[in-house]
Amino acid sequence: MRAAYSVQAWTLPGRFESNYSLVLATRERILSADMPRISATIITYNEERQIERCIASVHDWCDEVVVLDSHSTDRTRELATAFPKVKFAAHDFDGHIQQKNRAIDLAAGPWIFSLDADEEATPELAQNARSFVDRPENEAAQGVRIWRTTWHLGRFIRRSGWRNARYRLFRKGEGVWGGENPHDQVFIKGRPRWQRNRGPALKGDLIHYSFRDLSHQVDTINKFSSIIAFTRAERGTRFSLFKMLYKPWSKFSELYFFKLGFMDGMPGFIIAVSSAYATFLRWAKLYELRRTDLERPSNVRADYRVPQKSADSFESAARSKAEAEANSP
Amino acid sequence: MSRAFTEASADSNPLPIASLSAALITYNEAARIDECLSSLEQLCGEIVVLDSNSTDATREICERRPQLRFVQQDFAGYAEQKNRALDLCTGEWILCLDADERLTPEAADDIRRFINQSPPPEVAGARLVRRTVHMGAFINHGGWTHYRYRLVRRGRARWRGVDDMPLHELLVPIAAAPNTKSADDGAPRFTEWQRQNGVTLHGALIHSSQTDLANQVDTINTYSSIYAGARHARRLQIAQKRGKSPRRPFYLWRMLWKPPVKFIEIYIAKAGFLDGYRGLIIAASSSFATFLRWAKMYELSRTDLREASNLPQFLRAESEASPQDSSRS
Repeated sequence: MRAAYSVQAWTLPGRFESNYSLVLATRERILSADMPRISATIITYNEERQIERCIASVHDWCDEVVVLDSHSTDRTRELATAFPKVKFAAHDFDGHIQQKNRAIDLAAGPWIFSLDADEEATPELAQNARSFVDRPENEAAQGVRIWRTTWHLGRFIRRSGWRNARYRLFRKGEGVWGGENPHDQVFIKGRPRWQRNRGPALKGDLIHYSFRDLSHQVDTINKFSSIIAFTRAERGTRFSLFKMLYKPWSKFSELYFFKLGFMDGMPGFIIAVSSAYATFLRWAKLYELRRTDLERPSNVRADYRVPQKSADSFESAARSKAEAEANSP
Repeated sequence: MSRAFTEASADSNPLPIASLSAALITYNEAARIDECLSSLEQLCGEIVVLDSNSTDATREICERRPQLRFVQQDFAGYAEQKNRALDLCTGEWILCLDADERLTPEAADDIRRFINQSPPPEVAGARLVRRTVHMGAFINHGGWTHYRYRLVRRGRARWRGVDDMPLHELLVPIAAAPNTKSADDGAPRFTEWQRQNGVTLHGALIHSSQTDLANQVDTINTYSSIYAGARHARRLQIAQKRGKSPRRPFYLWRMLWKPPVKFIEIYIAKAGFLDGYRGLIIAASSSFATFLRWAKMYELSRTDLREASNLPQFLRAESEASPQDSSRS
């Protein structure tokens, strides 16, 4: 039986396959050393509702928990620092990706487990991730993907394209956050673009409590569709009535039929309709921006600037990270 | 149009009418209240502003006006607050406005003529046209331009929520008591129909709060939460009165057929298509709003959620504050 956490053959150096005593010796060296092996990194801003659940789920099996806060005004700090393994730091917020990469820089461990404050590792994931990291044959691995499942409307949404595996556990220096919120992700060094979401995945899920309820989801839809429409308008996309009418239907059938949303019951239907409306909103707001006097949607901050084209590979993400470091004093 | 009162010429002297009060309720309206007050200043002898403890400059802006009475009180719900403002007025006639509405000069002339006609006591009030600016233009169809009672005789009208829901409150005139009918002086100033049903003035009230689509989606999100919460509470109440636990509701059919019917109502029956792209966007958004109401009722009845996360503070149950307090201790 193929273990879910086994590493593809091409990542294994030949000597581990032949010399089992060396494997044992390496394992001994790894486990006896007092060095931290794995650091969890979390970025926060006013997360007093969920931060305890998040830290508690990684506290037992990670060697340190880096919490990088953006000057929260609630009790995030005191709740986080109550855990003994937490290394707490604060930095001005300049973007999710920059902040997540900064948290990784603060971490000591050779392995990084990067998660959000609204996520929680299940015990099964904890066990598998720890044994993955402690296996000497994985010394040569760059990282491993982790399944992420969202809890919404009273159930786990397993279909509708909401459950996917992404690189979240990786060696420090081998992975860097890039892309664009909400599609930000970790890029692994040397992986071609078409393989960025391929590779082995651990058993066990990371539970994502993305929305408090449907109202919160609609609120998020409203914000993101404004930002997307604004970005498209700035980049010169033209309004198209045909697309405004056609895209929502294709979005609905994509989620509900092709991605099997109907298997998620009524929540699957609600999610598919809301996503279709989100698609409609992007085009309707683009209409507003292109054909009326509106300069920016009222829920886009006045100091928001459309970013340059977002990173889509390890190299470009690492480059934009280096640029961000060079620009900040 | 056989409106007898239009024959009387407008008063050339623009002194404010002593017997006319304006009633407004405010909360953090510093950005727009000034325009509203300016449109009333020439017309109303008294302006009553009932404020719910604003934290911005609303108070300073209001107190610059000489004829203005500024009263503060905790917010108790829209209808309750507006009724309290009605009670505070001393004039014979009361004009009710929102802080995001303003009176056009034509409407001011109409009101002046109407009051100078000294309508017989059985006339409880007058309707004004309410026109809304949305996405940079007047929305003339789709039910967005409508007549509402806004000018009433003191003590002859109250604000009430539609279907006794805490939203979309209307000013409802109270029918004249039988003995209020005056001895007529013979001048046929008002038709029998107008005496029975109130008078319609054709000057417009301009409403410009929902200036862009992002704003409208926000409103849709809040209102559907209010509606679903009130309707769900009523369900529980009825079940309790009967001594039974509420039946497991089935909302799928309503979620399927109500939104398209809403779309047809607004876009076709109410001629929303005459507003062009805006009419289409409004009709689609309203039909999504209808969907959201039922989706949120599904959420309330089938999941652990007690109330929507975006419910306004005045509708929240008292229990909301207590779990946080207990975790704090």
